[in-house]
Order: sequence, then C-alpha cells, then structure tokens
Amino acid sequence: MKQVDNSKLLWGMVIDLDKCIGCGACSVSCQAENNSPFKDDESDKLRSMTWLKIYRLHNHKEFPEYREAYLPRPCMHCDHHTPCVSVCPATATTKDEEGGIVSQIYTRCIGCRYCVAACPYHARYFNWFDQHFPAGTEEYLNPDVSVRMRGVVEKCHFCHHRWMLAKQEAAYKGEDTSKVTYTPACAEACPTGAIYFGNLKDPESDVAKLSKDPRAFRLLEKLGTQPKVYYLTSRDWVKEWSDNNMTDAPAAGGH
Amino acid sequence: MKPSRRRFLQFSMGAAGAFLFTPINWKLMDDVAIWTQNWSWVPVPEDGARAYTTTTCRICNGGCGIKVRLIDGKRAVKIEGNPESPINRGGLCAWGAAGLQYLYMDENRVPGPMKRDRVTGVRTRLTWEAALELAAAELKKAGGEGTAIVNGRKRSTMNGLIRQFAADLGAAHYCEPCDGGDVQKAASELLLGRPGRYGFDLERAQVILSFNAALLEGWASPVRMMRAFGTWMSGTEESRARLFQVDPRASLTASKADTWLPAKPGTETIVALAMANVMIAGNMVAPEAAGAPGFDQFKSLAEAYSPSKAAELTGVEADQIREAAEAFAKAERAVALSGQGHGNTPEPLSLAWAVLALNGLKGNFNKEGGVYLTPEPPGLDLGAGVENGSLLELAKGVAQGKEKLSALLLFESNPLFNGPDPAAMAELMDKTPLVISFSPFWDESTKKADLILPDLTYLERWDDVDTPLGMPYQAVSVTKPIFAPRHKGAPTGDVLAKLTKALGKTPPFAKYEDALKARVAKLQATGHGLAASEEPAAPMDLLGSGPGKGWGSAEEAFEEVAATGLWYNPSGQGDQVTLSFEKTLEVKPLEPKGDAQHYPYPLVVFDTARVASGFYANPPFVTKIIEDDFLLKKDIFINIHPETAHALHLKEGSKVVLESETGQGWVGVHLTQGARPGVIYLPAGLGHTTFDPTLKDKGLSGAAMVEAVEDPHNGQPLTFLGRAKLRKA
Repeated sequence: MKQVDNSKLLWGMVIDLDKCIGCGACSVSCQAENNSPFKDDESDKLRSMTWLKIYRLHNHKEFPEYREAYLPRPCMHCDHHTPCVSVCPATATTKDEEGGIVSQIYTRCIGCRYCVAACPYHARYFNWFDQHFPAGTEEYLNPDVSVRMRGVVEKCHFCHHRWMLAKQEAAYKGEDTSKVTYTPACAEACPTGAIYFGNLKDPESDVAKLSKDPRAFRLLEKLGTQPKVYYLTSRDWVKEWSDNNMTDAPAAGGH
Repeated sequence: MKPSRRRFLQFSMGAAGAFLFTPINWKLMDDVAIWTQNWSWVPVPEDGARAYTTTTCRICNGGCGIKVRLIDGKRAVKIEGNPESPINRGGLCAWGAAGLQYLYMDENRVPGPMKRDRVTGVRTRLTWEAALELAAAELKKAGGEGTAIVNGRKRSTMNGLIRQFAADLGAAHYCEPCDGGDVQKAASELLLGRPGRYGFDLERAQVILSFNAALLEGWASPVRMMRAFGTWMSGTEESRARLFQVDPRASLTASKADTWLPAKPGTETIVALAMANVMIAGNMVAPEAAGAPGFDQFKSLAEAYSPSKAAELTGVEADQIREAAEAFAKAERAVALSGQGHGNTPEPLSLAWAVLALNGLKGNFNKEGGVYLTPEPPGLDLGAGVENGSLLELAKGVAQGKEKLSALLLFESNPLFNGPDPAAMAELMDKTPLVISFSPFWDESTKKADLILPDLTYLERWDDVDTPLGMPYQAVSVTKPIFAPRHKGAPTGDVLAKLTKALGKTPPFAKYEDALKARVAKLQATGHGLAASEEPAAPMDLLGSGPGKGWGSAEEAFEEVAATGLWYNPSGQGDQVTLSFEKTLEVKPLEPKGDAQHYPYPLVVFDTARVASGFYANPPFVTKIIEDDFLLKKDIFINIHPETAHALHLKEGSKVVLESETGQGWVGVHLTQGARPGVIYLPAGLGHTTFDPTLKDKGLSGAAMVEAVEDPHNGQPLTFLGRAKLRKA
C-alpha cells in the first residue's frame, strides 16, 4: 500500500474574533449540514447538541465600559496527544493520518463517554436519547452525513464529507486528489468572513499565514494538545479567556 | 478433586484472567453496541444526484441570494449563500441557513384552504374551488366599505397586486405597517423635498455613526451589514474603519463598535443634534449645507444642545459626542445612519431627520462612502389612489364603535403577535365577522382566521424583493419555486387574480409570474442592469462598476434574472437634490406612555441576533442556540443592571413578574453591566402562542408589553419604549 505523505496536508481553521459577531449563522449552517436534531426544549445546554457552540465573553468591566464578544468553538482537532483518541477503547475516534481531522465513527462507538470526559474543550456530545425529527423534517436530511443513533458520541468533523466529495469530484475529472481544497459549512456561511479554513502546511494558504499572525492564539494552549483551530483578536480581554489561569477573574460568563 | 481454598482461588484467578484475555466479552459488548444502535427508526436519508438551484431568501426583506442543494431535484437538503450575489456575497445569516425548516416543519404549515367555525372553533378543509367561491361570496356580502386590508408584503411586486385588489374591492381601509423605510422617506421629504428612499455606501466608509440600528443583529439587509462589518475590521487596527454606535444598551453592535455612546432610551435625536452642534461650532459644515435655506433655523436648534447640555440629557459623555462628531466630520468618507432594531418597526422621525441632517452638514449626498439618494427602480404602478391608513387608528375606531368592519384580510401579517398593540388587534379581530388570512403558517392571527387561503413558502413560489433598506444601488431580487409545492397552498398572487375575477372585475395579471415578468420588462426597459451571473465587483468597487448594459428583450432579461435571482444597477447615481432646513422639527426626548408612579422603570424592547422579529417566526435551529441566560425552559430573561437588581432584592436568575399597563408575565432576571441602571430591557420576538413546541409558549411578547407612543411628527406607533415594574409574584 502506498504510504500517505502526511507532511503536506493538515486541515486547520482560523477564526477572527474581531470580525465574529456571534450571529449564529455558522452554528445553524453546521446543524443543517450535519443533520443535527433539535428538541422541544434546548435550554439545558449540557444536553443541547451544537457541534459548533458559540460562547459569549465579556470584559468584566462596569457600565458603560462593559463589552461582549463571541467565541465560536468547533472541535479543536488537537494534533498532539489528542485527548479523546487517547482514551477511546473502541477506536471509534481517530486522528486521520492524512489531514489530521479527528473523526468519529458512530457505529464503532460503544457509548462509554470517556472521550466526553477527556475533551478539554467540551466539544463532544452524547446521544442519551433517540434523535427525533418532527413530521416533515426527515425530508431535509443530508445524505452525505449519517443520522446518529442513541448511545453514541458525536462531534464536529470539519465537514469531512465535503472533503470526500471534493476528492471524488477531482478523481472523476482526472485531477490530483491530494491537491483538493474544500470549505466546511460554517466557514462557507459566515457573513463577516471571520472563519478561514485550509491547509496549515501550505505556506500560501490564509490559515497558514493567519496562524502566525501576532493576534493569533489557541484555547488552553498550556495543555499542549496543539489544537488546529486558531483564534485572532486584538482585544486582550478576549484573549485572556483562552486560558482559564491567565486571569483571576471568574470563569463563568454566559454560554 | 476436593474443593479447597487453594483450588477455589486458582479457579477464580484463572477465570479472571480468561475473562480479560478472551475476545468474547469484547465481541459481545461490540455486538450489543451495534444492536442498540441499529434501530429501524433511525432515518437513513435517501441519496441521489446533488444539484443546486439559485433563488432569493424571503425570510426578511434583505434580498440575499441563496443556493438550495437538491437531491434528485425533489428534496431540498441545504441552503447556502450565493457568492454571485453582490448583496450577501455567499454569506448567510442564522435564519437564512435554517430556511428549510420553514418549508419542512409540517406542523407549522397550513396544509390547505380551510374555514373555521367561530363558535365551536372547528376547522373544515375546503377545496380551492369551494374556498374561492366562499371567499368571493363573503367579500361581496361584506362590501368594500366594511373591508380592511393589511399588507405585510410591501417590499415585493405583490404590493402592487394587493393594492390593486384593494382598489378593485373598493376596500375602505388599507394598511401597510410602517417600517424603517417609511421613516426614511418622510425624513427625506422634510430635508430634501423628496419623499424617496436612500442608501448608505457602508463598504467604503471610514467612519460610521449608527443611531440605534441593530447593524450586526440583523438590520435592514442583515448579511450585507455583517459583510460590511467584516470589511471594516479587515487590515491593521489603524487602517480599520471606525464604528460609533449610539445604543441604549451594550448590544452586540455597541460591543463590537469602536465607541459605544450609551444614550438614555429615547434621547438619541439629541445626541445627533449635539453632534451637529459640534460640527457647526467647529466650522466643519459643507458649504452647500451652510448656504442652504433655513440653515440658521437648524443652527439655532443645534445650538440648544451643546455637548455638555446633551450629556446631561442623554447620559452620553460630552467628550464622546465631540470625538464622534469630529471623526465623522473630518473623515474623507463617513456616513451616519439611523434605525430601530431590525428595521421592521420605525424609529422616531425626528431621529431619522436629524441623522440625515448630519449627512447634509457633511455634504454627503451621492458621494463615495456617503449617502446615495437612489430612487426605487420602476414598478408596475398598480392600485394608484389607494391610501395607506393606520391599523392602530382603525382598531381604536372599531373598539370605540366609531367604525365597523365586516371583513379583514391579512397578507403575511400577524397583528395578533406583532401588533402594534396586540390587545387592540385581538379586539379588532373579535369584532370583525370575517377574517381571511393568506399566511402559509399557523401564526397567531391565522389560527384565529375564519377563512385561510394559504400561500406557499418562499421556496415554493415566485416572489421578489425590492431594493432593501440601506442599499445604495437599485436591486430587485427574484425568488422562484424550487420544486412543486409541498402542501395544498396556492400563491397569493394567483389567488387574488381568481378572486378578482369571481368578483366580476378583471385582474391585471392572470398569475403572479406574469406580474413579475411585466416588472422585469420595466427593469429591462431602463436599458441598464446586471444579473448576479458572475462574481460581483469587490465591495469597494461595486458602485463604480457601472449600471450594466441591460438586455435586448424582456424575455432575455427575465430568463437571466430568474436564473440568477437578481437584477441590480450599481450605477452610483442618485437623485440630485437641494438641501433645505426650513422644515426644522421640534425635538424632545421620547417619553414612554404609562404612569411613572406605578411603572417606575423605562422598558426597552430590543431586537437580537437570535430571535426573528418579522412575519417569519424563529425556526427551531435558531431557537436552539439561544443562550440559557436569555431563555431557560419557558422563561425569557430581562436584562437589568446589578444596581437595579440590588434595589429590588433580586439576584441573577430570580423569577419575577414584569408588569406594564398592557400586560404582565413571568420573566427571569439576568444581571448585566451592559444595561443602564434603572432601565429594564426585554428581548423582542418571543412569547408566541402558536407554532411548534420549540417556540410555542416560550417567553413573553415584547410587543404586548409596550403601549405604543405616537410619533409626534408623523403619528406612527413607536413600540420599543414603554414603562414597567417588577414584582416578586
């Protein structure tokens, strides 16, 4: 078998928090693309499944200096010692050799939820119940993404299926499949152009350049998990939220 | 072999070891996992050929181009933004991305024409023939003098058809709810002697002064505003555009703005006049404004509001006012704009006028990065002579017995929920013997209607959107059916033609599609225009890209415009005008209605990025991402300052009753420093009593809590500011 050269492809994302307005278009687009279910009441946020969750941050100041900002959080696709992959007893979650996407194979998942506990970013969601699609809504389900069953964990997969489709298309046209690029649903929808996606190993790509921007940071960098999702901000108080220990301000602050 | 302690232990150890080493356990566990997952009711979406069709989103009047992904041409599975539309350039808002839920949530859709018995509340399904016959007979019986029409589709070519229907019917009352666009027209008439629309060249502006417009929460043409913000925030911190937001709370826009000017609710006009004061005092006024008739009158009005005086009245620091005014005046390209929330409801006319006057002082008309006085593109001129009246006035007249209605027709209009004054609307509907709704959804008003002639959703019908609010160029976006209707609805345009015929008149068009073709023919006749058929010019260059060459024939034009979803004319030309300050308005802070003794707190109802405020109610995907300090279970949260809470012995998460002159209900309390002390803030758009369980009976309706203030200058109901009190149970 041909060895995949994994030194050339590393999918990554850069989210410009100066541009992000927390409108939710990314999160809703993600739900629509990935056949996410919804319940009658989604206000219990520990049970609400949003692969791309938007956190509200604030600057701890008083009226009228108070400001809010938003931080969209997909799966970080940790590149190093990926915590969820390390603990999965069923090999249901793996980090792809090519591209480095942390994937989730629903039918292999045994529902032990070790990964949910291990993930430092709360990016994983467990299906406690059967997903329910009210009358008519089964019609809009996307055939490119499996509907999840009760008892398995699910998470953001960087719209992996879009990459597969792009590769298929390239193969069909006789093009080099290793050179394809694609855009996940969230980056595609973002109305302010805050989400960039691409190959971190391609020095010409937006993400490669922006990940080295002086404004760039990653969440909980001290853990050494090397997330492939970078954030940009020029507001210090936004950056301070990226590591719980960088400030002694309370960690609570909306969702 | 005798059992012994030793043997027992050996056996136990062996068993434990074997258990660990045999693969059987793992195999069984795996099988159990697979078995528990393979339930027959987990849907497997049917696969097929993927294809995209291009159309226009119609959830609001923003006119965004969309692409709908279809499977085998019969199932729509995803909505994406159309990168070829210059309006949204591939971007989407949350509501637009959830658009398929309007199409496919069966329980929210009226399945076909039906009538309802008022006494028993029993609904009966009708065939379209029977329904139209019944409607025609009832309308004949009601007669024109007893008929009122509420038109919620004013930003579409449907507007002309509904107006024409009102004329053919001889309807005595015709109401189009007032929105931000109407206020613009009135402001433009006052200052420029031209009752026309205008738009803002936001993409090229370096300084933006925004008064109350929820720019980033979905104002006017939401995705265009968000895109413009993305443009402002590009580049280095020094090269970025500067946004100044006048806002009563630390809204999303205020938070993301470079400077938030926290004006006391209702005092925004004074902030604008204080900025005019700074410009005049600092000799920063364009010569055409300084020489305009009535300038002295305006000058003396502005002189009454020095920054320090304004600071006292508005709560905005004098330095902030000076800084904003100077930044605006000195920038090469700067624009000032006003709005109210999403723009579906009007801002005070005095505010729109004062802000337009700021643009006048800057000499900002038809200028790069300024205000373009772009007229509406040519329309069909139907229903001439139909006068627009006030629905609230009519409701009051009926309540007092001065007027009598025999029929009320609702076109994409839900007055029972959106108001103004939902209680008055409920009384109006009760006292009107025949209410006909043309809504495709089970909204509150449609639930109460006696006859429903349901339309189709925007993905199943022809429709169009006239130039969105704030757009500096002309644009008509076209919506087309992506496939056969899902339910037995019928396009209202076609239904009106049939009803007109049944009433013995000749409809202007046999079906809506013909009206749209005629409209596009008018656009083609201008000789200009482009279709969204290729990547549009960069946002910065769009207005300079020329008006386009148009098409050789109307058929050609329609074919391309329908296929691409947009006709537009980015000529960068606007009406030539002369500024006049002769009609100077008297300006006072807006006083909410209600007894200040009983209801000590001003109540601000605000539009947010997570709740829709127009005719289309929130879809489940968007309600799902509402934060839990905003909506928890069934409780909506008011925002108040910790000091206010302390005075009332309330904590974060306390449950209280919010009471106003017009309504009351349970709310949760969310403490935030983004709230001005002594003011209560209530998010708008929740509190529906119909729709699916994700939305039904959640929260409290803002519209029901505020008694509308009559705008002193144009009489329109202002519904964002009221009075209220909080009590513990």
